[in-house]
Amino acid sequence: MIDINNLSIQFTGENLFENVNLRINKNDRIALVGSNGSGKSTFLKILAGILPPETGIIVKQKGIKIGFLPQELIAIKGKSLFNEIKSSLNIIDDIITEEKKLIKELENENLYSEEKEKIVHELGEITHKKEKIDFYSIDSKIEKTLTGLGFDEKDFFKIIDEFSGGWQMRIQLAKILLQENDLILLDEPTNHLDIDTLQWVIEFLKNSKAALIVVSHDRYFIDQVTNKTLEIYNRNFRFYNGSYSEYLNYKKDRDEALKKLAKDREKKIKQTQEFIERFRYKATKSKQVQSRIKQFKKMDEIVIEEEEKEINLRFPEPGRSGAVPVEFRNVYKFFGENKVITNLSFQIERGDKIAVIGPNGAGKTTLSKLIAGKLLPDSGEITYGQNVFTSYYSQEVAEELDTEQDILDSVSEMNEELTIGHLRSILGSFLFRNDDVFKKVKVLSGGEKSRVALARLLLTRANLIVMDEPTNHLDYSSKVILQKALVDFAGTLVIISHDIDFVNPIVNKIFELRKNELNIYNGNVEYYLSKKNDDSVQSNDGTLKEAKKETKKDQKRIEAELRQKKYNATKGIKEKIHEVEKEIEKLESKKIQLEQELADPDVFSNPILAKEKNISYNETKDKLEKLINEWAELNHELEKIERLF
Amino acid sequence: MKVTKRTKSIIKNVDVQKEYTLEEAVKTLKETSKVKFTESLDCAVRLGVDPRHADQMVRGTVSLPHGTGKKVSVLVIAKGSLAEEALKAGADYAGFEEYIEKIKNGWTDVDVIVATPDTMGEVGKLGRVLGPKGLMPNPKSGTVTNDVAKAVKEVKAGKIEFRVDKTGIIHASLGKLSFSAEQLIENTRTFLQTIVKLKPSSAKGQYIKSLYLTTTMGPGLKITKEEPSISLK
Repeated sequence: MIDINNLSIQFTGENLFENVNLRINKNDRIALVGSNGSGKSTFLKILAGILPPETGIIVKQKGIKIGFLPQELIAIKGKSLFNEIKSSLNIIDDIITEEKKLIKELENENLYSEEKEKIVHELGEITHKKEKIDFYSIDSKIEKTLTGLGFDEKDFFKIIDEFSGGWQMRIQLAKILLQENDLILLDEPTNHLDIDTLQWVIEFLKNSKAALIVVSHDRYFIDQVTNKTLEIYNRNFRFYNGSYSEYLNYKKDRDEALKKLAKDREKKIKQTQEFIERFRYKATKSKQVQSRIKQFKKMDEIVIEEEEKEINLRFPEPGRSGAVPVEFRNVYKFFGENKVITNLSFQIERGDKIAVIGPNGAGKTTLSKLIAGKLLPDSGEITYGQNVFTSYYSQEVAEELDTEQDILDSVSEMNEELTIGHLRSILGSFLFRNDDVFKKVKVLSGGEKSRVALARLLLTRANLIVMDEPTNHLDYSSKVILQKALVDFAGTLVIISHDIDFVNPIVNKIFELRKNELNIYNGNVEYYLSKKNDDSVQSNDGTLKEAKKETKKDQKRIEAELRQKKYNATKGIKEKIHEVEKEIEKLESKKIQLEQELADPDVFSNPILAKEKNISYNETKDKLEKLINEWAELNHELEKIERLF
Repeated sequence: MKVTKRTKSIIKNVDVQKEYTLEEAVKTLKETSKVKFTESLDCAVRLGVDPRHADQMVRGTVSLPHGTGKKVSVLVIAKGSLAEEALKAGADYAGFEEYIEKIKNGWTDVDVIVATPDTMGEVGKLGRVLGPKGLMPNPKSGTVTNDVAKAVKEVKAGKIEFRVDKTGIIHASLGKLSFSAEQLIENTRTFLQTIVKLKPSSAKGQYIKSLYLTTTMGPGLKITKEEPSISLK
């Protein structure tokens, strides 16, 4: 379907990939993998025709249709959802205009009959075209797709601007799914999808006949929809026939083999060099030396992929803020007729780590922007405590960054007191090393931009951090590191995330936004999920005092419950550990005793007795070792359980 | 699923793996038909074309020599004397404004609509009603013409329209089992001839990939690959 010959692309003087030759076939379902910034998105953009290839040619089959879902959203405005989707199927608009034009021409009474005949024939063509694309069932198809992607029927005629980031992305996805493309390119499609929708998209892609190239950090998703893996490795592309999971196993083996090869090679080089140095000036060996030199030059270089780097992140100790950093009193916020926030009153206390959850479009982003002071309320009052410095990490980080700046400038404007050296060391911990820091923001990949935004956040020394979907473009290991940093963060945190695994260990409070109401749960996400149906929810009725009293009481009760739960969960294992410890003590004293006996001349001069004692000593030693291992394992398990609370 | 007595008797008399000649197939289908109505003879041809490409679209019309055995109701949209001519030729309905209005209100109680070119300006606007039902007149299928009498006669005599579907298969109904075996064979051959003649030049590889004959409730019988070329002779 697509042939790629000698493709090369370079950014900031460094080749992303060079002389790539590959072919994409009709039924290929490809997972495109490679480390952050290796050029995955760039490659998709080249295939989609958004970027031109620097050298080389891409030959596409005639009439091929390619659908591309970019990582960063293209903002569209003004139209209603249904019309926007419909007009994106541009062939439909063309057909309708053409048909109208022809019918109008036919109404002209002064036409010659030949002209008329020609127009009638063209109309006939249009009827055929309509049949071909199933013109009359398109509306129902659009409805089906939108419903599948989680849109409500009443959303169909909403103006597109009103949809939040998560939904904007689904709108793009809907267009691509409906266009009946021959090749679908998806760049991180799962970033904004909840589980139900994800499942729907997987089913849709499985049933679709189009070829597929997907970039995603979601292993489950990739494994479901692809059967081939295309790896960007060492500035070139390699196909691996098999799912992503299979590929990972293969990659592990290959990397190990390569490492071994490189080690062997190094050894050989050393030997050869030694030989050359030693015998270079010896006439009798000169021939051999020359041949070794030739051999040396011919040796292939083995390039080992650098280990996937992880960002290293720790928030600086923030200044202490007032006891109540933010307080909302009867706050309202409207967007046109859409009431997003109505009569909200609550307090955030210092050290609170709050997860804001709720269905897409419930107003999570609006609330977070209000807290961060990025939006002003239409009525009501938001008061900030003393010494509160806020910092906001938005859903579309890329929009916030000045694309013309280089990374160093972008970071230094956040904190001008720091020296270049200091800044570079911080950037280094975010994996921007050497000349990387002079890259323009516009050439960075989605993941890299997120890293820049995180670095900026770190430099503000804020004590109230508001984050909207921070994990969207981060790979798994970076996510874990951010999570750890946020757990350790000493300030106040408000975070929006769909990723339960990510937020659960961080937060101690849940704000649930649902149908314009705010429910507060004092616990982590697990607690929230278990309590969701419980009546003991504090509803937000505006009576602050009561709410606060309740909060404290609740807090105590929850803590007690947690303690009890923890005790119950760890009881059995603790008992076991105790037993094992006892046993170990016994065996250890036995071992010491046996050692003493063995050292006794009476014993070691008597071979039979000595043998007996030796056997018993060895047995005791083995047993002891086993028990110590068991003890370590049990302790590890205990730690694991304790960490859950 | 319960296997009925009728199905059992069909299974006994039919070998689904076998490739039948046209004659054998028609004979077998006639013999195994044990229902209380007259079944139709249906044909499905799988073509080696990719219908997503406009230049590989196979569509057309064919006048079956012995008709389809079905009563076809025809509406002719024409003005004045042409409408009368149509009625004389056997059209069930003919007229202009009256029917345009009726169709606008949702009436589509006909099988085929024939229109004259001068009425197409109005008929074209009815796409929303006629389009989904496949009733829109089209010069390509001979339903937009000034010679309405001929069009009506052809349609009544058993002119059928066919086109390849999304999966590359053409379906058509080629008569009733009450026809004689010779009539059915002749209808099928005419149909196959037309399809073979319509082979797009851009289609690659084998053109007719497989060919099946069946009846409304009967078994599907595979026909030998030689049959289309025999039809051409």
